[in-house]
Amino acid sequence: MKNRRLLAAVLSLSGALAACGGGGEAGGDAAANSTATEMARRSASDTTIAKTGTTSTGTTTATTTTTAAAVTTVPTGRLLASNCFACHGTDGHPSGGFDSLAGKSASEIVSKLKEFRAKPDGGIMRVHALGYTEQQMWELGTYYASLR
Amino acid sequence: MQRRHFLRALGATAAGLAAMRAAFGEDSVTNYIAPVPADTGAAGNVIVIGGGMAGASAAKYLRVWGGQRVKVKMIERAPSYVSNIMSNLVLNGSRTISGLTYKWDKLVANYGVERIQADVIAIDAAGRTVTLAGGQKLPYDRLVIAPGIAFDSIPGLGTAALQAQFPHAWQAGASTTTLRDQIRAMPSGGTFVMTIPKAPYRCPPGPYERACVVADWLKRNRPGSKVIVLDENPGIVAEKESFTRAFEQTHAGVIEYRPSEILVSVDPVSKAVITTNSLMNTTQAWKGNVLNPIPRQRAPKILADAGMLNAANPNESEPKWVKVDAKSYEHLDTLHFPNVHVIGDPAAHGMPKAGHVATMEARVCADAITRYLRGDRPMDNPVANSACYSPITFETASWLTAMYQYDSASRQMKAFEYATGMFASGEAGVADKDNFDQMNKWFVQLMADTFA
Repeated sequence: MKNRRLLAAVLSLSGALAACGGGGEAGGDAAANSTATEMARRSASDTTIAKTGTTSTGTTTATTTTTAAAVTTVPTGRLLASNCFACHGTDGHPSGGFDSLAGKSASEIVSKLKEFRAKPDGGIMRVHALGYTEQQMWELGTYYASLR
Repeated sequence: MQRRHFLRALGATAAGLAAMRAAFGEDSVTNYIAPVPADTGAAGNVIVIGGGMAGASAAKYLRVWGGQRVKVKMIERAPSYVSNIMSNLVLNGSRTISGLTYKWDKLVANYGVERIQADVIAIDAAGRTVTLAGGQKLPYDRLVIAPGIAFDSIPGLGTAALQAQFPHAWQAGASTTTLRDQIRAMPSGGTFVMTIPKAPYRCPPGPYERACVVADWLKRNRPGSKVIVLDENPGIVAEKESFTRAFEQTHAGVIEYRPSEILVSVDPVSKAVITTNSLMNTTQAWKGNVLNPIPRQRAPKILADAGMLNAANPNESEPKWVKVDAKSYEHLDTLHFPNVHVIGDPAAHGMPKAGHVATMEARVCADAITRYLRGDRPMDNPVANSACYSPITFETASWLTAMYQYDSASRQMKAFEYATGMFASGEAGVADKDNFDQMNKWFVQLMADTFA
């Protein structure tokens, strides 16, 4: 239940992000960062990850938010998103012919992944979509949304 | 789907494709160069040994994610890298070794990787230095070891001349071309004998793919020929459904698959592979016009010399690999090997030894190192994917993919169980032309992400 509320919050945040995407570049960045930070804060208290069998302590995002010394924050979801780079290009900028992911909204990426997941004949993308928890989908989607 | 049919109807030429892309506004082709930030908060000296799929990716992402204060030296002895991926397609003449050759100049120019062409002869983990042939010592804060794989010698093939005459071609290069020429020189009704080593080895589907590609070429060009596949394993190691279908249907009557055949030796005089069947305990000589024995594999000598081997194969005692913590790819023994990361073929982490997944290992490793270098810790729950396409004929391919998540208890990656008893892994339902086209797209992008 907590998870559903988290997703709803993220959904609305990514909506805000998409809304300001057409405006100033700096604004887009700031929105992406605040989305990531918000997700980080929320996921730190969320226990969904434990249920998937990965880990119950010190989530991904908890570590990034505790580095006072860091000049910049490591974007949440960047490493997860890099799972797509081999086919969709570095930072989702393709040169091989598969779809571009850079700049897509998080909700678009998540809904696409869920679509693949639901298709019995979804091919290679179905398997990939099945490989992430819903929270991980949002994290990687939010990373792509922060890119141009 | 619709678009694909449309393209085929048009007879998709390259120009036609480009026009289509523009018209549909998707599948954009870019030459994206990721920026290297001036300062991410991370600083330090990282040495990467090896410039293959794992090493090149690690070097790139250490710079892109670490920024300009993370100095990266990539030490590689070879003047260029020859892709093992797709090298089976050299055997049927659809690709060439020169076309599979990559250089590191873009990693240098675009990302500021310092490339050193040299041989590393020693690693001093306590002193945190590597020694180059010639005696020069280079210090590091973090070391990434990605030297590829080593091959055991095969009894009967003790000399370099004999090894050149009976090439395994499991390290793409001149020997791949030699093997291609030997296949071309076969008569109709000839026999190609290949062996598959006990797992684990580099690229689990690779040998079965090779059997298919060679069978396909022989069928079309040297009718009546046979491919005898002698597998040390009790059955097909990867893409079992696809290769069973390929062996029993697509290449029926050409491929003869024999599991549980343990390679004893090669007799270069009578041109025969000698095996013992591990179930029946019978020994047999398999004569061929061309022999392609693929040797058993292990971590390269540099890791053995450094005392870093800590993982044996099942039912064996001799350690041959380096078990790492898949959260960061650090050696498990951080007391004796602090700040040492091992990625690619020699690393044991619960995932297959293959080029695509090696680039993901490299990114997890690079992310962990750049976090360490800013006084942080690695992410606790990395995800990685393994994916590959295998040609089954000159124009069809199948695929295999699996998703892995970190298991903190074993510190290894585990196939992700998305529902009870259901794992996020799968293979193609059919080998077809669409998959072959996807394979080519995948390869172009994989190499661009790694070397450009």
